[in-house]
Amino acid sequence: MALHGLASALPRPIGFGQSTSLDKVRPGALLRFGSSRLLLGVGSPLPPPRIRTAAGTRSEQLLAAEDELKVLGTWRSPFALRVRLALNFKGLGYEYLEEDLDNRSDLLLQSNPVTKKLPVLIHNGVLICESLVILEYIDEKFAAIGPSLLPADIYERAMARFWATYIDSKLVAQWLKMFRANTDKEKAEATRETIEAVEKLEGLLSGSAEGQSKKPFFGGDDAGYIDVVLAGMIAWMQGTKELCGVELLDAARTPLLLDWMERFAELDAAKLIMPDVGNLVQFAKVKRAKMMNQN
Amino acid sequence: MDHQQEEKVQLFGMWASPYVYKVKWALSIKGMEYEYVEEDLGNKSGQLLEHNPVHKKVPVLVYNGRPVAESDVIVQFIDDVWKGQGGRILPEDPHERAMARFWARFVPDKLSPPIWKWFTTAGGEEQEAAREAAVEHLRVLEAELNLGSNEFFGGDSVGLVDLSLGALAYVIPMYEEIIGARLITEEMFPSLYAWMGRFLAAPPVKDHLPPMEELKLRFRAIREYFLKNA
Repeated sequence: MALHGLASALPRPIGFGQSTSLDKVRPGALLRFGSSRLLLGVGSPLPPPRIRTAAGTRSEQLLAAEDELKVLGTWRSPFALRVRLALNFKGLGYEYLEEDLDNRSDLLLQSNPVTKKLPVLIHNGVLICESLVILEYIDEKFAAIGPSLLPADIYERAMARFWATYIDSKLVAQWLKMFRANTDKEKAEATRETIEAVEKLEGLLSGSAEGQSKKPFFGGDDAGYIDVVLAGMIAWMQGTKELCGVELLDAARTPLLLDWMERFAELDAAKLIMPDVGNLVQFAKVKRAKMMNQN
Repeated sequence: MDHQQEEKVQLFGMWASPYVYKVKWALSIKGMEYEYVEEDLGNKSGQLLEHNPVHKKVPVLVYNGRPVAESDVIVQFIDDVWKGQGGRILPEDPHERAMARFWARFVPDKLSPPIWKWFTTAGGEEQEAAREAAVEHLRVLEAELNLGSNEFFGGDSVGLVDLSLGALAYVIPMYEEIIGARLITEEMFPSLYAWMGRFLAAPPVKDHLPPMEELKLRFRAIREYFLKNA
């Protein structure tokens, strides 16, 4: 299933190896979706983003006019994508800054001296790093605005955190091992682990674990924390066949995940920012070739 | 709000696991009683496998029959369930919570791997590289985590970051003794060094530490195993 259409109609985020020069992006390009305005572009001074919800001006009082949210990320990072999705779900406006990892901006170097990684969320000059940490911050800080990402029930919240950790430590980590494997043995092992992780996640959607009925999203009737955490990997999972020669997703073994991916990509919060699978695959191939040549 | 009448809390653990101790300390902070079940990891119980089918590991907390796995998840669950009882594990303010969670992740993601590598590698270049990596991360902690006049990273009582670092307070000295080299000296890491002593003496911790002599024997055997199978 290809992701196209709306995403390709947008000013393309900066690709690999190019510096973040302002003339590559239409400055001040504004897009409207759902109840919020998303700012795509860098640099030019603009009025602070405003929140519009059905409640009208109530949220504008909660998110003060001076409230400023910035996200530093790359278009291909599953972690940065999570943060943008979370902000979109909450209906929070923000400035997205595409980083060139070969030429890191001063803002990034100042923002995350510790792990020097993306994404970084900057809220009124305050820095938050690590995607899962950022997601919980957004959910807690802006609890009064938009839907909640994490469930209200304490036990369900623990389950959500458990599966988010699982996605990172099993799916993402093993996927990377599979993608970067140097030997057949390494690749086979990582492939097995990745497929197992995917099947567990399919099982979650089927609700078979707790005798619950099938649900459209991991969060239930509406998308929530786990959906956002996993969504960062959608395009990567879809590109796995071409990148690794591994059939991660198919109608027989992972029908629910396939449905979920389609459903998720249609959501207002998602459809304008999901990366194009073709571009991602192309980028990854180039990157991998470079890494091989360096070895 | 008094929970204690309706609650049943079980902890599945193993005497040498630092993650199990993290949960014990969290329960201690809340003053919660619980049933402890020691697992033989070479022969896992049906109950453990039922409660943690995904990872089949300890610790697992079972709260009124519902299992929670993964020590970091368990600790936050404990803080949520018994909010307002005992000490605070996570701060109130969202930004401070984010900082606590960030530093809590730093330990398993960045700090522990080179320390483990250092411990399980024979003396030489590779081991020295691991030691340097560990020291670099310890320097970051020493610099970034300003204790100031606080006794603990959580303030005047043990919090999430203290719990995450916690086991290192007894593990590092043990590794140092077994290897015969120092990783943390008072000179290099005055703040961390002082914290380690305070942590081990802190009320939720001091009566909930593993048997040290047995642990040392176990660690010696582990190092020998790794050196032999390198």
